[in-house]
Order: sequence, then C-alpha cells, then structure tokens
Amino acid sequence: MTANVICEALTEHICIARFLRPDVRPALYDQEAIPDTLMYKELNAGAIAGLPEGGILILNFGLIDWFPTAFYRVLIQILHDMRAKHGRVLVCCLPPIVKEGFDLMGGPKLFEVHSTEARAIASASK
Amino acid sequence: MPPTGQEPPPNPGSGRWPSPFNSGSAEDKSGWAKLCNLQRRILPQIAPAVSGYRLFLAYRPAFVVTGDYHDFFRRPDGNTATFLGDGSGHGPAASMLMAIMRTILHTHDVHHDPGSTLERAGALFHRLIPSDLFMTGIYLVLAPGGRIQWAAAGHHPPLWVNRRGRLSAVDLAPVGSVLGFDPGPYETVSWNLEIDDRLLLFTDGLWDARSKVGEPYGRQRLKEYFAGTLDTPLADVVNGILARVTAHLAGAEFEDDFTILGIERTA
Repeated sequence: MTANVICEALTEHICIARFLRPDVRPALYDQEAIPDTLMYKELNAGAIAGLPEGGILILNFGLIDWFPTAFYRVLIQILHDMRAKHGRVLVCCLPPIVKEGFDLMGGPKLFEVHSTEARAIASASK
Repeated sequence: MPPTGQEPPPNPGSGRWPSPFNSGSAEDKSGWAKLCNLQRRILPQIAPAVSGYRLFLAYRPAFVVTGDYHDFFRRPDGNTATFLGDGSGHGPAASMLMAIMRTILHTHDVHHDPGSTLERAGALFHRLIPSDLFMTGIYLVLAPGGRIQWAAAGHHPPLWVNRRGRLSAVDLAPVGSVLGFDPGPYETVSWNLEIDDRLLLFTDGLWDARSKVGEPYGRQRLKEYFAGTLDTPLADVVNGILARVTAHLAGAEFEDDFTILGIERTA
C-alpha cells in the first residue's frame, strides 16, 4: 500500500503531516464514512493518535492539487478529534487551487492558516 | 408558486448510473429507479414565477441522484426565498443530506432573515447528521424593488452583474462555516438590484468540473461568460454555461453534481 501522507513529530506536542501526492481521491473515496477512509486512518495512526492533550497538528497541503469536499470532510473530522484533545489544527502551504475551495467552505474561520510551514511551526511553538 | 413557463429539463437524472443499476439484479435496478424518481418528485424541476424577477434553473446529478439541493419558499413576509445547497460527497449518501435539509426547511420555523435562517437550520442539521458530514448552502430572499438579502454557509456568494456588464467583486468575508459543523452566526448581506441586473447562484461542481487532463473549468471562465452575456436571454445564459462546462469536460465524467440558478430583475 502506498502512503498518502507522511507524519513527522517535531516535538512531543507538535506533529506535521505532509501530503505526498497531488490527487489523494482514492484514499478519500474508498469508504463512505470518513473515519473508515484510508486517508483518515493514515492521519490518525501517524499523527492524531500519538498527540497528547493540547497537542498541535500541522497539515501541509503544498503538493495537493485536488481538493474535493471529501477532503474538507477529513479536515472537519480531524478538527473534531483535536478539539476533543483540546488541541489545535494548523493548515499551511495551500496552493491557489486548493485555497480557493478551502476559503469558499469557510475554512479560515475554523482553521489557523499559514502561508509557509516555517510560519506554522513558529505559531505552534509559541 | 406558479411556474415561470420554464420547461422541465428532459432528463435531470442524466448522470452516470451506479454499477448496481447496470449490473445488479432487477430488484436493485428497480430500487435505484425509484430513488431517482422520488428525488425528481421532491426537487423543483423549474423555478417559480416571482413578481419583479425572472428565474431559470438547471441541475445535473453526477450520479443517479444528487446531493445538491435547490428549493423555493414562500416566506411568512410574503417574499420568495431560495436555498441552494451542496451535500458533502455525491450520490445516494449525499442525497440523504439534501433530504434532511429539505425536511428542516419545510417543517421548522427557520425562515427569518437569511443569516438567522442558516443559523437555525444549521443547528438542527448539526444535531441530525454524523460529525464527518456537512452541507454548504446559500439562502437568498427576493423582495420587491430589487431588494435582495442573502447569507452563505461555506458556499460561493452570488455573482452579480449589473445592466452595464459590470461584475461586482466577490467578497468571501460574509461566508460562514459549512452547515453541520459548529452552529454559528451567519452574516446577512443586503443588495439592491437595478432592473436588468442579474445574479447567478451555483454549486461548486460547476466551476470545479475538470477536463480529462485535470484542468478545472474555473470561476474566472464562469464570471467572464456571465458578465459578457447580458444581451442573451437568461435561459440561454444558463444553458450556455451548461454547454460550455460540458464542452470543457470533453468526454470526462462529471465528478460532482451541479446546480445553477439565474435570477434577473425585471421590474
């Protein structure tokens, strides 16, 4: 099975998830319920489950080219999960075509958005 | 509400059929056909007649049934409102979301100012659906004299082109979060249309329709076409958009449902 995301623990409390390919729809559409999808399972196993109470997850969208609503559903589910841990979700490196859909769906009202990974890390490290 | 005279689309359920329909048992096929027909019966096939305005509607499911939801309401204040929404995903699962939202909007006292309507409907919707699902939507009220009010939840604002062909800038600041997540406040936006001004409401399946090489049709093409067709009858503009998007796909399958509602102030 080919990974769709690689997760790196920066510290005990901060983890970065970087999506590895422009189009991850096969990992989004394989199941109807988002918690059952391959994408969510990869993110949960690689990042969310390992973060402690108050942890911070940074999602790097730099390589993503296709942002269907199913992807936003994953973000919503992650936000639910991280709020349950009293944690935060930061989003960075949104390409214009992704940012368009993300902004339209009200993403900036729910997520902290940064232009670069360095800025997201700086915010997470405060 | 009386119809506008707009002819129903010949086959709104013209999207691709799921494999169970093509290869399943006769019982499967019958079930899909019933679901498709039921949805056609509960979704308006044409826009209503609204005093002072001309409306033209088109929709196209990517699947046999649609997760897009469009509807029209006679409000307690006598004005007409429209809701245009897009359930997350598409196909039968997304069609459940449109059915839930339809029930809320038809059976609950939610029709106040557009922002309050979305807030109230969103709170009910939030309680009824799984946490990983949502719907985007726009609720727009047509009042006499060109007075328009709308609010949007994770949904594109209306495109507004005036009679001189000037397209208003799209401001996403009033757009609130999607329906089904945190129930929250939504901003009501008020516009005053002049006679012959036009609005275009649509779901994202339209501008995000991708060609075989993955190129989206894009909002820019949509805006340019809409702003440049003021001399064209509204129905032809809406049908022209459908034709252009279909041509852009060049044989690629529609990935998502889409719905278009054109509105023109006539008096």
